[in-house]
Amino acid sequence: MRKYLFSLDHKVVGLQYYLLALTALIVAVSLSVLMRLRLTWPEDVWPLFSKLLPSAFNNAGQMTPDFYLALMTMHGTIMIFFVLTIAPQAAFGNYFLPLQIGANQMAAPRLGQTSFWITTLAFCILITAFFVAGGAPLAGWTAYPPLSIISSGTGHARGMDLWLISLAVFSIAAILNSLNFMVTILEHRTSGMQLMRMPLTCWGWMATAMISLLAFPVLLAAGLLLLLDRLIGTDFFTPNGMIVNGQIIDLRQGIPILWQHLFWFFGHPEVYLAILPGMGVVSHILATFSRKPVFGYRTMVWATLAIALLGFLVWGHHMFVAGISPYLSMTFSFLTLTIAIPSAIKTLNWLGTMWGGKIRLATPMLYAIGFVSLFVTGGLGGIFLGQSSLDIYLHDTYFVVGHFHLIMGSAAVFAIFAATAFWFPKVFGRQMNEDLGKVHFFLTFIGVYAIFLPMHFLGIAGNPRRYAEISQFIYLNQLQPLHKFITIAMLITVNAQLLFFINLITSTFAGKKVNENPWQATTLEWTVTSPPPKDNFSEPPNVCRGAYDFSLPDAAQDFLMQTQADSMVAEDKPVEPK
Amino acid sequence: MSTVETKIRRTNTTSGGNNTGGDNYNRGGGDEGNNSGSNDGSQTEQPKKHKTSPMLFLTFAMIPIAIFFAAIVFVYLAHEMRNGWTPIAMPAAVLASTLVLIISSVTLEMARKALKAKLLEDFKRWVMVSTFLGITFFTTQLIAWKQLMAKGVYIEAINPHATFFYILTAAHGLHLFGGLIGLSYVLFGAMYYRFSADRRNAVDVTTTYWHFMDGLWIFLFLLLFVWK
Repeated sequence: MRKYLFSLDHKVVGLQYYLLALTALIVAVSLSVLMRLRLTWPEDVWPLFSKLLPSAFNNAGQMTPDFYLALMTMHGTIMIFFVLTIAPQAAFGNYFLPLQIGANQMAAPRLGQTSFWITTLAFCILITAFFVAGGAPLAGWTAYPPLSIISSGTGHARGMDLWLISLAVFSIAAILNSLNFMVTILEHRTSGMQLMRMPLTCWGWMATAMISLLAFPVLLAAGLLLLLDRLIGTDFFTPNGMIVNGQIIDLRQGIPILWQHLFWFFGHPEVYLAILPGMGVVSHILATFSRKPVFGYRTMVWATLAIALLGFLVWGHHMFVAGISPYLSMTFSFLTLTIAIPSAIKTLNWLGTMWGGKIRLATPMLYAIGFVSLFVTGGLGGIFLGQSSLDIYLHDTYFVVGHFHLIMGSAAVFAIFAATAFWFPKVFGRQMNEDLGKVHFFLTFIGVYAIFLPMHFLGIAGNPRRYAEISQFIYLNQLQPLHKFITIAMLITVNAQLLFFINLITSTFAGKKVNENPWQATTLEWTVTSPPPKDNFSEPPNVCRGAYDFSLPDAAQDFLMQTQADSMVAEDKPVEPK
Repeated sequence: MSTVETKIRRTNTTSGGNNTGGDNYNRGGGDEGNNSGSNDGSQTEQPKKHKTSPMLFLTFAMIPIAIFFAAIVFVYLAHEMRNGWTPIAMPAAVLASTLVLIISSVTLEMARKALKAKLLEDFKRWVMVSTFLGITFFTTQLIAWKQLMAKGVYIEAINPHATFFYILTAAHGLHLFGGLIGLSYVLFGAMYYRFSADRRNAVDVTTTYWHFMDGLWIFLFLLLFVWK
């Protein structure tokens, strides 16, 4: 019990977070399968499922549009918070941050354990929303008032309250976890591990922790105010003259758009929170498998921090259609497009890292390249959406769905795959099956493009998002075959994920045994045994060089561990500025 | 001497709650190695890498707290500008509680000074006074709520200014409660002479947090009742 459930070992906490994220991933993807099925074959009846959740189906046994919206809300919420926020940061970070900076533990082990259990509690609260009177909320993961303030009826009752409570609890856990990360990075680096010698993964985690500390309190405050609006009838966000069930609610003075400002002030940094650790992991893997130093390490660090900072200045681009002033829109457009600069720096540096390298196409590398590809494709969609004039047309269409699923959903999940395959040997002392991994990579890579690229065309053709079915609209009927194609592609891709899980489980017990540094990487986690001993380092390692000394001209081997002193390498001229 | 202190520190580490504040105090004495830098014996016993300064935790903990209040104040200002309102009359108790909190900050600072000067009895006395004042602040805030309710002003009232008064005082009180837990920990330690001029992390952290909460309250007070 103490050893596994409530262990203070950062490695156990990391694994716990990872398992929670995997569970959440399975739930969330299942929900999206249900959505696609409803969207593509709206007439279908669901005899078995309708017994399980009778309120979600009409008398004929078809899924109600309300339930479709509930699925959408829960899919988004679970994916964004319980997969993309915790897997790259809390799961891999808790496990590998201390190992990479040469610490024996996180700064506050008990705090890390507590935040994991608070997160789990938040997840349970969220899932409970499906089973209370009124069912799961249907206001979307953004929960815009006034829709989210209505407190009775399907999808508006207790489920919405539970949703808000869950997010408030989650915010607290995220803040605590980030505190732990910040202090660990600033105070627990081993001797010689200067900030500018840290692996880029650590920079990603640090930037993410900073973002969490600044963004989650806003979500917490906004969520609590909205909860008060719902529970005790304050009017922070409740507008005057709202009509609910045919009755006018008057004498209210709330301002609904305030929620959008607060929510997106949190919500946009949240996007970067999901992607920045992934960027760190990908930089790390690209360098290791190209056998070259990261191209422009310093610019990578500054680009990471620039993205983190700019993330706080662009929230308005989610609100172009909310009736904000056109001048404000223009400002936000401009700021949004400036994010393309650090993003392009990163992309070019990734290509520069690979350019002329001795590339080893192992599975982690494939996933990392997949990440770069998806990031570019998804990012290009963002350039369209960042312009307020185009966004007004595209905003409520599938273009947006395709865009953020490519850049935030798929890219971030590819980073999780990459990190899993890369660090698996360290965690279990065994390697994941390469053949299975490659098949999984290609199926998934082609799969996500087949799903999300056509959605851009749906959007340009004017297909609105959030609609449970489109058969009622003549101009959309011709798009139905494309929807069918997307759904079939999705079913294939989702089933391909079984390969990943089979690989994960079989490799844990029967994978090929490897030594402590199978990838010939340079960072500190590869100096200890696999799996790492309980207290990581028997004595504090001494770091003598940057994290990416690959293929130095005069060195005997093509990689130098960070602990290798210059005196041990004949006439070594480090490539990276120290 | 140093081994005795280490032992005490170990017992401290096993106790304590898990809120942000509590976790700081758990590691009270963590940078002891720094303060008694000349003592080589204790340094080898405690490897350099376990050093975690509670003050750094507090610094980073204050950022999200400040932003949490900034978000609510943003809503407050937006409402004020958009709708305007007739502010509620300040309950008399609020003025009293504000004074009490400011004085408590001063007395706590006196306590810290006394500890620095190794005046342990003075330290104990000032901590007792501060804790008493801290509890008095909570009581007067509750009295203020009672005074308002007696006038028929409730949280869901038509007057949004009253709503904000309740929300902001409640949120501030909740955060100050964390400070009170820290203060009781310090009080407990002071009673049993657990602190010394070299071992005062918990005292420093609690005092800083208390000042932070004090400053926050003065800001909220000015916002609610002076700035119109």
